[in-house]
Amino acid sequence: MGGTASHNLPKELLSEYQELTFLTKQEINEAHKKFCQLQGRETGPNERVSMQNILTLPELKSNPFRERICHVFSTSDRKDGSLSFEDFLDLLSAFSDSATLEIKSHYAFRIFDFDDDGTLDGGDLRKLVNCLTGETDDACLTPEEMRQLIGNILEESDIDKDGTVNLSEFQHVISRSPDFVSSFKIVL
Amino acid sequence: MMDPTDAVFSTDRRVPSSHLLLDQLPSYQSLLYRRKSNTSGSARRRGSGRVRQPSVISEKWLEQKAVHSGEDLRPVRELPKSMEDKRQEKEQRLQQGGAPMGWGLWRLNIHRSLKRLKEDGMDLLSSLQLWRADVHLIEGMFGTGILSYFSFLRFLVLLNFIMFLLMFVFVMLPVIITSHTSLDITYSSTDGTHTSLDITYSSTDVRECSVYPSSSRQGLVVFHQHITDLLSGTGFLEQTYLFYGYYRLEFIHSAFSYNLPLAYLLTTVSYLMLSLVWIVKRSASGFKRKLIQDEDRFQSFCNKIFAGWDFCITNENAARLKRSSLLYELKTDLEEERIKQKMANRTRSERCRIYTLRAAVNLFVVAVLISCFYCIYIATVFSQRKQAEEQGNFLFELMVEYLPSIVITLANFITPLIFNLIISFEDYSPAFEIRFTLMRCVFMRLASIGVLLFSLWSQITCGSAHCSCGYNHQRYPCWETHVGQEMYKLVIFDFLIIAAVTIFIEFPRKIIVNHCDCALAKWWGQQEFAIPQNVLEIVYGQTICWIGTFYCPLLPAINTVKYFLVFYLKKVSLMSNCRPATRPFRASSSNFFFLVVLLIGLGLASVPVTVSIAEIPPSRACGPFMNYTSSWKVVPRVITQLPQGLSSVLMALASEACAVSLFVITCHLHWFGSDQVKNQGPVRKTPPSVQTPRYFVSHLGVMVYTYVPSPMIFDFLIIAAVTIFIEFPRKIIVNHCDCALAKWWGQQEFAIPQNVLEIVYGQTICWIGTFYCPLLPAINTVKYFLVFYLKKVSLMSNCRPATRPFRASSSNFFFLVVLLIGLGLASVPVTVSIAEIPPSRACGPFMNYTSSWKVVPRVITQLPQGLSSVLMALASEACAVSLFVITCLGMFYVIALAGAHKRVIEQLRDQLAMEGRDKRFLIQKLCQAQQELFARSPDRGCHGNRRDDEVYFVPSSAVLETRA
Repeated sequence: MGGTASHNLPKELLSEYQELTFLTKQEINEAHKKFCQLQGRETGPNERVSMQNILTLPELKSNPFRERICHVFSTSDRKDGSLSFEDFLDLLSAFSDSATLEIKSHYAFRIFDFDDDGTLDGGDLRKLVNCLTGETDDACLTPEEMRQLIGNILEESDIDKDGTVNLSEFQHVISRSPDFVSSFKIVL
Repeated sequence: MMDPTDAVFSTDRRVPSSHLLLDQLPSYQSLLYRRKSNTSGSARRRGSGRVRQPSVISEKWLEQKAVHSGEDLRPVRELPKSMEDKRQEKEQRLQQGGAPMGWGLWRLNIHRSLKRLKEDGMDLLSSLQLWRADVHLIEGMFGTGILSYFSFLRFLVLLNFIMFLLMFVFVMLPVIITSHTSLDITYSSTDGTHTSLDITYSSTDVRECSVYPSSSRQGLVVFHQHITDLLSGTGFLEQTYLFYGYYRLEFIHSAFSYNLPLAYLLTTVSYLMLSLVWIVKRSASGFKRKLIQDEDRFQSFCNKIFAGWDFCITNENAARLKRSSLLYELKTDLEEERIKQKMANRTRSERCRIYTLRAAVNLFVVAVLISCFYCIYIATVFSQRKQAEEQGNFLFELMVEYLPSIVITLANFITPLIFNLIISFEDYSPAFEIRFTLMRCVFMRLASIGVLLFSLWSQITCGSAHCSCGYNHQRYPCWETHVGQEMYKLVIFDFLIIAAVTIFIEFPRKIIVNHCDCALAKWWGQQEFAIPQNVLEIVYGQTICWIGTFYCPLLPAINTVKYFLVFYLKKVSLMSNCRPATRPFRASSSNFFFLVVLLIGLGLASVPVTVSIAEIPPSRACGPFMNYTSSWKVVPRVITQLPQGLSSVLMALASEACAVSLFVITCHLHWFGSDQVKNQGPVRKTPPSVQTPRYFVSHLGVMVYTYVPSPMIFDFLIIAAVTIFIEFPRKIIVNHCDCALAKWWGQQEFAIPQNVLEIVYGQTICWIGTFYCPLLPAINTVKYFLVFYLKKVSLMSNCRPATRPFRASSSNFFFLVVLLIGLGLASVPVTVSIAEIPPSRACGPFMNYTSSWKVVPRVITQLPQGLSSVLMALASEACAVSLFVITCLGMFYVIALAGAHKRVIEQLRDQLAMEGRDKRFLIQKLCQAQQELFARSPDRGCHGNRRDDEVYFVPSSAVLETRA
């Protein structure tokens, strides 16, 4: 497919990507350029870039959830977090300005679900808070504070009171969060 | 039992596929569906979102999808799947839908290309947006909180530009054109043909007033004087397009005559209005969101955790800061919770101590503010006095010119430091501390402009004794230009300060902190980019601009350029000099806050402009309003020159009666809105309520012009007669006569709507008539007293209750609405007769007046001076307009509140509906699983159990089906 010598994608592929993602033409081309730089050489759309390489992107470098993001969007069978170009586009699409709230909240849930078990339990929330505040010793919530915080979160979001936040509860909470849509995006 | 459906029912939620069922829950599906229909405007709102296609493909659900995919028309890109799956999905859909042929294909293609064209167009449009790349970059580096400041700045640049365009097109362009062409021009001049009705001064005074000595420097001009002029708008700048005094044209005659004073005035009003409408419109969404948030503030922690990280941040430094600020925020929030608990447990003596402390601190704050204001006042007066004298020293002159600006800036610099220091003694919760300090700073900033204007005003309008022109014409031959110069100076000085702070303080500070290792420098640290202070700065500038535009029409242009440069200054300052504040500022709350502060600024700015337009006499030596005693007078004069009909309509619109009635109407709407908020339920209309008002209005309209008291008596007689001579015999006939006709006729129904209409009709007549017949209410009281017994008798013995029931809940409201209509109708003839129709000269209390209303102005003029002028001011158009605007704003608030309430209720209702659907869905699944279990169970021989389960499950599902 992408066998042309230039950095440009074929036209029909481009329009297909436009249809399947929330990205505009320029954004797709930009993404392609970035991806090719990461790959180091021109290849087809199914060649993967390893997670280490992806994480050198400045957009992800300082993100505390960078590894989770790679794992969630990776379609690799080996579960190593490597991304193909299409995975990369999916990632950018989910984080783009025009993506819907449902897409964003779905992926946010999966990113925050550190152990991939389909619910956010106490452990997930603890990891999430640690990611947010940084895990160095001096900049950490005390265990007491952490307990109070997680208790508060569960009290606010755990509607069915089973001690975990599931996807629908999460989406319910997110749908009323004023900051989520504006903050859950990556500008390439 | 490895079937996924069984895994669903296991209580252990850790089974990986359990969220598979959760995705299938109707609540989730309809949530998705609803959002999508909100965005794409689909006709079907939250319809049958029962079984939608799952987000994770598994064999089990694929079958269902085949059944239901007909209704699943979400765009493929909205599915949370990988690209490969989306592609498959798309192809599958194409196959299912059958490849469109011919016309269909063509239409699909057209549709697609149109959509793409639209997207491209939007792209192009957004790329035209000012500073798109810069804003993008800032957003990428520092996140949305700081972005909101910059987009606010961009909004102000745009606003100022539009204001400039308004001024340019309607005021400057005509003047520029006439100076280059030979159009017929009428200059406004006090001794020309136009010296008109309003001028009551003696001719010598007029001549004295209209002397305007040229202020441009004579003889040799030293270079530094040019600088002084440039910075303070005096000298060669004074007689330019920059200031009010230059616009001396009154009429430009070409195909039509262009009235410059009118254009000037209307442009001023319209730029204020435009700003108001634009700000309110911009703040509407944030306002609603804020109202909603106030509804459920219990969600604050989730918002902070789940939406806490700003994924835009790419700068490593900013990321670290974000982390620490999040940590700080979480800690303070948790602490706040603890503090709140502690506050709740405070003893009485502690509470007393804190309240006295707070009162003392507030007194101190007031003292600080007053001393600051006094300083500003002294400085202004001093500077005004010195300006009149001649000085040799260039620097001293400049200092004197800029003294008020310097004092204001100093006060604005020092007071926030004091406020920050003392707030910690007051023992508020941390969040409230920040907000309270900020509000004090806002007050300080904006009030200092007010004080400056007040001291200018006290200088310009010198008492009453020695002001022959209505203002101090010796010192200020053209006082508007002078005010314009002051505003010009403030704007320039503000800009210079911003630039100087960035270049000469922040930049060296950064270098010192970075390159000096001593502990002091480390402790000092880099400058914080504090958003509230920065916003305050630009709002302050904007307020000055609003005030100054009337006196200095080019000020919006200057302000546009200023903000344009400020944007780059701030960007540089943010990028290289500063670090983002440790105290985070959320985008969601900040946008609204900015606009509220801006709105306060606008309100403040409109007061002096209104006063100067309506009250202070315009200078007689310059400007477009030379011939008028106040700038506003141009409007009545133009109106009197209009054709008769139009002018009388406009006059009527501007009269007190109209203003009062508008006010009353908006108040009512207001009340109605708030009442609706309280009731929170839609008031259901009963069928009679639709018809009766129409009937009622037509009925009454006939009666309005007839003699009033007679229908009153007549009405009563009719009611009595109907009760006694129709209903009673009818009852007797129906009861005692067995013929079919009588049976068919039946007993009289006691129809509530008709009866209500009857008494409302009577009440309306009473309202109308009381003015002409003061005893009518007494008659009406007696009438209703009797009607009560008549109706009671009629109901008890003659009638039967209506077959159609009339609910108390809806009827109470309905009665009052009908009564309200009656009252409105009644007030029209009364108002007209009071305000318009001349009272008879032969009788009545108003013999001596041309209209009854005239008694009020006459009494007011007889009141003591102070009181009467206050009342006059209250009755003036300016007051009415501002009241109207305020009530409009209040209405907007109430409507937004109602909207927010409605949204909350809708959300709750949806939630309930979803829960119900979830339950039904789960029970169905349970039944399914049970049946599958039966299918296998014979092998395992649990025949007995199966019976009970079947008995248990079948009825419940049947019930659910019928309910559905």
